[in-house]
Amino acid sequence: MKSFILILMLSFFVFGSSGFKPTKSTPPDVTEASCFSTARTIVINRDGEVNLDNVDTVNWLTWLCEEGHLNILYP
Amino acid sequence: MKMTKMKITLLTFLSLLVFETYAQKGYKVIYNVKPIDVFKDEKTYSKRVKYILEKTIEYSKKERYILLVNNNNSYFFRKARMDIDSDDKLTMLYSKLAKLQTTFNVNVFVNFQKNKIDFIRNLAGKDYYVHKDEFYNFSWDIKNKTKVISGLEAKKAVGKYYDIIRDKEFEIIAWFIPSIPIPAGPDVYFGLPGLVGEVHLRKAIVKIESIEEIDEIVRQPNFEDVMTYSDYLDFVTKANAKIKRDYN
Repeated sequence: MKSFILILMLSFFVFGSSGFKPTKSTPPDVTEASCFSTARTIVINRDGEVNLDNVDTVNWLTWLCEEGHLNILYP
Repeated sequence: MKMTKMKITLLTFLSLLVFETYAQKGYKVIYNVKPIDVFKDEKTYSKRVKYILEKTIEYSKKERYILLVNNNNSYFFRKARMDIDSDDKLTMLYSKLAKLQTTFNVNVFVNFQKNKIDFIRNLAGKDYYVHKDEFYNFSWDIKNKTKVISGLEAKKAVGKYYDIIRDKEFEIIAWFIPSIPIPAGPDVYFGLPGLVGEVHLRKAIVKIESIEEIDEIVRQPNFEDVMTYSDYLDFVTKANAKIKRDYN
């Protein structure tokens, strides 16, 4: 029983220190690549291509998606 | 004899005063933005993406640009707004997307006497200060069509603009006001025999919302670390090639 509690405490400590945040709305399969790809698609649909004018927007959109501030991957 | 001398002095002084006042007389023009062609591939967008695009339109419509102009100079800049210039992450996103409707320079200062332009361009999130020794050549073709903008008669002109960032030539439609014979306009879209009242860009129509007479001197802002236009062209070509390779 004691070792079970110890494992439980250790798990909590490990998850807690690795930045596990259960309140975030990011779906579990959100990867860097899918956020970037969707951000790129949005800008290309709007602007025809990624260029010096809009690359900052692609990067910002990707970051928002990866950090879970904006879900652009699902309807 | 003394009286005549005094009269001449007084007349000269008055003439100088009138000339100085006339020379400084100018306009403060506010332009608004009407976004166009936003939902081109509507079927391919998810609800979330459509929402982002709707927000972009909403933000674009709130954008205002100011042109201070007189016979010698003009200064063009974006009007700051409390509601769309916040530090909030999503607000910043919508604002960034909204600015892509016009892709205007941050500031543009024009010297009409010397045919020179100084502008600030934001590229990949960084401001670059550029000096250009000649105006852009739009090869304007003035048409016979007229319409009224802000109570003033405007004439149609069609020109061509080579966009160095997109490496493409675009048609530009402008409506200029001959009764205000200053060759100014929003951003770099000028060079007509009258103030540009409306300009049709790739993704927006930019039009005069209000115009008022001012007596202010249009001063050149302090531009630091200015690069020449040829250095700017070189930088844009190389940086754009890298982005197109990495992102497209």
